[in-house]
Amino acid sequence: MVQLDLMIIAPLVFAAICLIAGNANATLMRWLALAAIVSQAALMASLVPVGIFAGERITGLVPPAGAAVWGLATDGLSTPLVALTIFIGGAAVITSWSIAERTASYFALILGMQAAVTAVFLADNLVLFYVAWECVLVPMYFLIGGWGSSNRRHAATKYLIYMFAAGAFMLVGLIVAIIESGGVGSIAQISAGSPAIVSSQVVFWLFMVTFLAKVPAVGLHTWLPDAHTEAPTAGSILLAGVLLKMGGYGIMRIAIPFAPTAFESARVPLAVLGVVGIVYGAAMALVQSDLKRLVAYSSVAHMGFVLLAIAVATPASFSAALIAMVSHGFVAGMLFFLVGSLYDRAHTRELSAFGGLGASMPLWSVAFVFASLASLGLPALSGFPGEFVTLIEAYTVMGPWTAVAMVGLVLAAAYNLRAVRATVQGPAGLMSDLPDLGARELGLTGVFAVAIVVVGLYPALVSGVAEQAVTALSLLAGGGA
Amino acid sequence: MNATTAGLAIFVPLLAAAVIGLVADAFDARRWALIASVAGLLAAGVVGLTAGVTVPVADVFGVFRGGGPFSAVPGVIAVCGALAVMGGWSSLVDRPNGGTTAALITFGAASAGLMAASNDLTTLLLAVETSAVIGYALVSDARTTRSDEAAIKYFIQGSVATGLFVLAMAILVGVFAPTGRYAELAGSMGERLLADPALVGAILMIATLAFKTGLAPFHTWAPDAYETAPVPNAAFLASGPKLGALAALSLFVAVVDAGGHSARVLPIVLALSMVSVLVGSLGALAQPQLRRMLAYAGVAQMGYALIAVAMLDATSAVFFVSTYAFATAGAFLSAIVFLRARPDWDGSIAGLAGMGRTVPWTSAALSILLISLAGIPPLLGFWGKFQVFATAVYGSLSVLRSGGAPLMGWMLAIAVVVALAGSVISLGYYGSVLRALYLLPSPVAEKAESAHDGEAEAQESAGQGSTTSAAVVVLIAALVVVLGVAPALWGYSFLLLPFVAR
Repeated sequence: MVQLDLMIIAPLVFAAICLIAGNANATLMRWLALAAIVSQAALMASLVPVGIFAGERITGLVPPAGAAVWGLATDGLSTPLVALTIFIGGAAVITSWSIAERTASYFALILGMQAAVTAVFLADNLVLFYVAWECVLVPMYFLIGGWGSSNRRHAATKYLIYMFAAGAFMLVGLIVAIIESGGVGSIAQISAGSPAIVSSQVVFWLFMVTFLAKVPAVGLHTWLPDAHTEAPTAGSILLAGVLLKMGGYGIMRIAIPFAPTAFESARVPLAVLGVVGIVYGAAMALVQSDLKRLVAYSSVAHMGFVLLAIAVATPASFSAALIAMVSHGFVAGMLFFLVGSLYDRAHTRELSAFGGLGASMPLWSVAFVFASLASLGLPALSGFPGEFVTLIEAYTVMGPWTAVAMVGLVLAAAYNLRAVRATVQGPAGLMSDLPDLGARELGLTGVFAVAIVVVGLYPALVSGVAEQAVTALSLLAGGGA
Repeated sequence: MNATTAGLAIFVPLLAAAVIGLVADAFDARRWALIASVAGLLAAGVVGLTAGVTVPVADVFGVFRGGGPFSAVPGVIAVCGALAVMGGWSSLVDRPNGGTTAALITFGAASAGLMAASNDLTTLLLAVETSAVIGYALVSDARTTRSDEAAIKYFIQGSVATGLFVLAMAILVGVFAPTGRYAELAGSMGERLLADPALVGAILMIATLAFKTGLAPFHTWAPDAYETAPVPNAAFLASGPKLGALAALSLFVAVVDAGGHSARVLPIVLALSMVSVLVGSLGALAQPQLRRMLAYAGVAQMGYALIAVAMLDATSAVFFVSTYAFATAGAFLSAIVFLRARPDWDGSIAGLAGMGRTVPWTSAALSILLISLAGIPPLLGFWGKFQVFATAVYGSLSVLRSGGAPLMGWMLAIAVVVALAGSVISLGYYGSVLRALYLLPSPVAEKAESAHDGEAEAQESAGQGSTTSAAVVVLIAALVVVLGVAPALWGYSFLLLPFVAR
């Protein structure tokens, strides 16, 4: 289906138009960027008749030449994340409505990154996957470095070098994988013939270093607090909303199918890494004095659940991993958006500067309380189903020790409520006479909230799409045994 | 077209253009000298790349080879020369000796091309020495004390290299191959059980070519030379002759391998690779000057190429260095534009601050070239690096699996790790330029803001840079993007086509 190919090409075309049109008209740039995201959504919608949301495997156009690197496919694993990418991309553009500086370059970078992330989730060719993966780096480097807050240059450079170094492991891994499977480039074909990969332990861990750094797993997470905190609001939304998901997706799409036996032996260490991430991320979030840094560390905790769910390797836990990723995309996106809009008004993110916003900014406060409740995993909101199923599955499959992750849940309640108390409640702080959310901000908040409620009440929206794919994956991984 | 006509169609236009250029320059027709040079270089480039794809390899007069990579590499070198002259047009036209410089670059392209096409030691000696002499002249061309110093340093070190070459010739010709032909050399190295003379001869020859390629520890002339030479000269020296010398090196290593001495020589090549990557990367990291940084970066890049040389994969090696040469020529030429736009620019990376706004096109093009050099997809440089790493991983896997030469297998694996580390470090030094261009505040703008007058701003926008140089840099960047994206549709093997020997 040509629509898959166009979903990557469309944002690039709009990015080129932005650059050519130049900085002449900032409003035009915004609408062009929004049009690009809408066109992606329309292309995806046009695939509904062929069953994209029924989890069907749909392939893109195959170029005539055999050696081509291009090759796209989507299935139950990719589809939810592609949909999330489009949603978060739209949110990032709307968030950036007030960007007035160098708008053409700004939106061209956002759209370039949008195309690259979409290509990561759609790539069926291993080399294309790597190319798309690395293409995310440079736009994000310029977004953080060019439009970020005070310490942006350091954060941007650190992000670029950290991620490129991590990606180098995958480069070697994919070369070994391609060579040992006889020169085949298609991810699906390599997965189907995975016994051909002799050095499966080597391949597995080479890929895992890259993916774990992206997720991020504890130990490889040190790039995240700086990048998330210093990035402009839209950059943080994209980072937390979709870029982290590339890691979890990579594990499920590549690392496990390529080297199921190596994964089998790595499940317990990965689960430990996940549990440690849950507790560590939550504990770190609890002691932050910077609101944005708090949200950044909460991402480490939430992605810890994703890692734990993947390590459990049952169909239900893989579904839970996907639900948790989609949910975290919405929740972290909403939180970063709200923190960003607060920062735009107050020009500080210090928790101590705020207080009593419930009186002066009632709409913002309601939204922030809502997002915090979603973040701590309140039932009926999207944070609940993924993490709840993960804990149950981990307990039954991996053993009672995984209950340690519950500590993370308690801490999640603590840090979220601490953030709410410090901002919304209490006596008025230094920053008390701030204007409330405007119509555009309110609209975006509403969309986020609806998405969080819908996934919270009906998680089958995600797991239904993924059902076939996760069942096949768990058979391969030998999970639940 | 057969190999002979292909060979002639490359070297005759180059030599003719060089002679016409010198004659025209003697009559003070500097513009015509430049036009002749560009025409000759472009013609040779087009013929070379076409012949690389269409003409099978064969001997030309028994002196050198034509067709396949032996036409394509001289073609790429000629293109680099053409880019240097075109990109440096404005500065060459202004200088009294600009015509001579263009003729020298053309002649230099011919000699560097001959290195890559040579088929025996005598031709190689001729090509290497001609290229060296032209190199000294091109460096001292700036006529400043610093460039004179750099040229003398280059000359003295070059003389030592010449001495090593003569010693190598004495051993290789004296003991093994009286005619000096590669085929004979390979044959008799295999027949005669004189392992030690062969090893000494091979090491001396590799050292000579390593000097020409600018490999550590024979690289110390390069940073001074590239920094002080006029920009167009440096743009050519850092691209064309490097490619020629590396091609000659990979040919010679192939001869040694055919002679059965690879087990002892290839580890030396790998060691050179690792040293070059480390010295080049760490050296580049410490450089405040743009052109010095590019020089050290070039040392590291040649180190990556050596991995493919040690794998006896000349195709990957010359393809990779071609992508390097192309981007590096453009990166050097951007300095002309920046200097025109801000005449008080001291050549430092920090001094580029704010250029991203005042010189947007060239800054964007330079960023693309540097990102390509760092090997980030989807740009041309990535495919070169990918090819080298794929070759190396394949080699180390098969060597380690076969259990044949564990030393070689492990050295390859370590060389890959070193090269990957080097390419991560490369983001540090290439990234520092991106940072200066786009992320650091412009000192001029700051001055204007603090003084609240538009004078500095006006001065900033007065020099719009050199349009021809900017156009060439942008053109190179555009090609780097197009050739980098094209493999999505056609696979990247078509990029290798001209460099495959048929």
